[in-house]
Amino acid sequence: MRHVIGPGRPFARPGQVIGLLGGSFDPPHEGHVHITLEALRRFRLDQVWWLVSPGNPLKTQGPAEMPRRLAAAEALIGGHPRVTVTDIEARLGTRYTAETLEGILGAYPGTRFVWLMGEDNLAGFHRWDRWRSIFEAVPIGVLARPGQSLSARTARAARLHGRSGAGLGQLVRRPEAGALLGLAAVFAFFALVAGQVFVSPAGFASWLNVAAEIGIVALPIGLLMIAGELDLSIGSVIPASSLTVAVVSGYWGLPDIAGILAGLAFGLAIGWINGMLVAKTGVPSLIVTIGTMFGVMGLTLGLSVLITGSTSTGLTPAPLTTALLGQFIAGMFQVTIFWWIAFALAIGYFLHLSPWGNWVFALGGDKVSARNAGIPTDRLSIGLFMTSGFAAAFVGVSQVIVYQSAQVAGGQSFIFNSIMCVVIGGVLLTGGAGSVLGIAIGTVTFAIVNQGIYFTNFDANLGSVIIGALLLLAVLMNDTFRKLALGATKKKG
Amino acid sequence: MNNAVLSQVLRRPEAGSFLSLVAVALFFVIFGGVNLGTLATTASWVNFAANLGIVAIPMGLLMIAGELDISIGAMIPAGSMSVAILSGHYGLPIWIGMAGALGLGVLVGLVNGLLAVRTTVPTLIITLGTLVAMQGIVLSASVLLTGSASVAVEAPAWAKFLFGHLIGGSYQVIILWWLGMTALFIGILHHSARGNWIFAMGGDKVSARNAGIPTDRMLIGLFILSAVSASFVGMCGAILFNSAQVSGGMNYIFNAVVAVVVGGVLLTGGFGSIGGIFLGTVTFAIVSQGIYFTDIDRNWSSLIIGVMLLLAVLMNNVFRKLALTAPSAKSAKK
Repeated sequence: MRHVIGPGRPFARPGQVIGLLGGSFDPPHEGHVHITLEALRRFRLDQVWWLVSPGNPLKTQGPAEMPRRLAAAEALIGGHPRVTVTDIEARLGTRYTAETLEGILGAYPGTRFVWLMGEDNLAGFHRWDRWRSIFEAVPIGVLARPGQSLSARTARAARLHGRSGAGLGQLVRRPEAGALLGLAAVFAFFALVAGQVFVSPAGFASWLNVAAEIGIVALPIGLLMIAGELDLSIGSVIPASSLTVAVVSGYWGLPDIAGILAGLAFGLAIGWINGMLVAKTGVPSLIVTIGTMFGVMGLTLGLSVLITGSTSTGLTPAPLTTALLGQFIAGMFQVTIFWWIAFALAIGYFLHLSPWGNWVFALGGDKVSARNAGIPTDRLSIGLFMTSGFAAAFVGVSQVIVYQSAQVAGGQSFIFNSIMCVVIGGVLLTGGAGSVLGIAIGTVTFAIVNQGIYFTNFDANLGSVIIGALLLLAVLMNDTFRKLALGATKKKG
Repeated sequence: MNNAVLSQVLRRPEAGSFLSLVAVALFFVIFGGVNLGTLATTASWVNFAANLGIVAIPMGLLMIAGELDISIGAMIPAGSMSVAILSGHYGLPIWIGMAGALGLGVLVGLVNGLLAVRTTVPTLIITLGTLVAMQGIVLSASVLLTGSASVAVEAPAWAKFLFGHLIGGSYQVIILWWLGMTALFIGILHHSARGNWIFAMGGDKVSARNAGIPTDRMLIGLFILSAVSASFVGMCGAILFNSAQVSGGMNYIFNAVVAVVVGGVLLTGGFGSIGGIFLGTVTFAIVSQGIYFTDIDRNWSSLIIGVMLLLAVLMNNVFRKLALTAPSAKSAKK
């Protein structure tokens, strides 16, 4: 049967991926908007169509007349450039979703469609007419209502579909899955090749100490990358805050706490400058933070020579300061490891449990929509940049306490290293996806390769080759996952 | 060219970089007590600019097309080591070493380009991967093959003359390559269809593809150009200094981006000019090398670069708006 939709049908190009959200939209509400924005972002759809149906066969009460519902839907989401409200179902004259899909697929050859559902719909999906054929015709994207996580897996439809092994209708891929695999492979490799030393406490300490320092910086860098931004200035903020502590508490002899506070305040200030410049000028954060990186580097060098006449300054921290920030537990584990865990818990809470976390994801998904949805995007960006400035300063402060001296140089390696940890952890700057667990796993993986190579007979430079391979793998996996997610349940025909 | 620039200076992409150059020169004269005549003929910054400029041009083209390539940081030492290992350690003819160096550039550029068009991951991340991988491969290959991280190479006279001699005892011959490359790409970017394509790609890739522009092939080509240029700089360094330079490549990454941005190119794509990139490179070189000829403590040079970059970016935003509102602004294609 050839369906004719006629003029006024929504426009789609072959090759586009379009999400279909069907329903009576009686009335259209927040939940529909949430699912739509979430789906655009998570599945990287080109468009979402709201299929306002003439009548829902499962809802017994008669729905209000079509034009009113169409108008209400249009009023709610019509301004969004990638959302179209359509009465295509009425034009096709179909009653059930399975038929509607058949009609749409026939009318738009070459265009790919994803059927979107709230998880509450999935629970009753097996009561839909010919629901299996819907699964076979298009991939299904299931999205949680705001503030909920997916729990409809126990629904009959999901259970059966899960058994069929076709990647489930739940397209929400776990970003840390690949990262965990990489970590396991790397750990196994070094445990085998490097032998006993690597799995001894000293072996663990060697990579944990490295992981903790990079990890504290990588966490906020990961937040920024989820939000679609970068911060390269950390490379200068780390030595700058080290030197601030050394000059204030060492050279001038003020109490340690004064130097530490000055160092941390310096990091916050640079973060604020970064955030303000990015938010107010619209210049890409890569460029802005390269600017502040050079600026801070010059400032540190110039001021250090001006004040102390040298490019390095010593510091003798008080016992309490050393105990808190610079001691080696059991003679080998840096106390920074515990600070890293604390940072991870705090940022994990912020990103995954607090309401602000969703804002960060929204910012990375689509900044304009995020702003339109009422998210204070400027304040949020500034806050994120201040967090990364603070974290970098914290690392600088703890370094000067551990090594009891601060130098102008150093810190540059943190720039790319922290980005690499985040990327290996599954955050690829494509915006809107990632997790704190993934970032932590990426950091540990990076540190194991970086340090583990010294326990082997290989040339240390081969470590870089492994890291490079892991990065490229992460890049490839990201798109493989996306294709799997979007294409697994798709059958031609 | 100067007349053309002056006549419509404010509306061209070079405007910002030209003003930056003037501002830096003035700053050095007023606060550094520098003699402009001496500064202008000093080889150190010209040599620096030439090496930087050869990687800055492809970087600029990529940024106009909306992409980035940071793997150049590894390709410069890679080009250097390739020629040194092949022709120095193994004693093969120099042209084989050179072909090896440039061939490696083609290969890495191809990998970057293919990953860029086949995946949706930002090119910053992709080229970060090839950057680290190439660093490791080059250094460990050097250690494995030659047993050391620095390798000597002796080039025959003709290769020395073409790629690695000092004109007048202080000017590297690579300066001529830089000038030639600048002229060539002014022709390509501003006076050929391909140039328009690059601007179109940076403006809106989907529209560009729909307009029939082979965006994938163009992008792969740009990445190959970028990697080969970086490899070329490394190769010339090895021939000039008779030994491979394994360090220093990383600095080129940020330096090239800064030179390009000061030169008026927007990272958001679709806007810029080769003349601007040229001036940006000169400005950067004068700040970082010319500072030695002033009374200013050289430690402040990074601060000047940082401030200059931020000012240039803000200024460019203003100029771009001017340019886009101009009725016949040539380079404001979008």
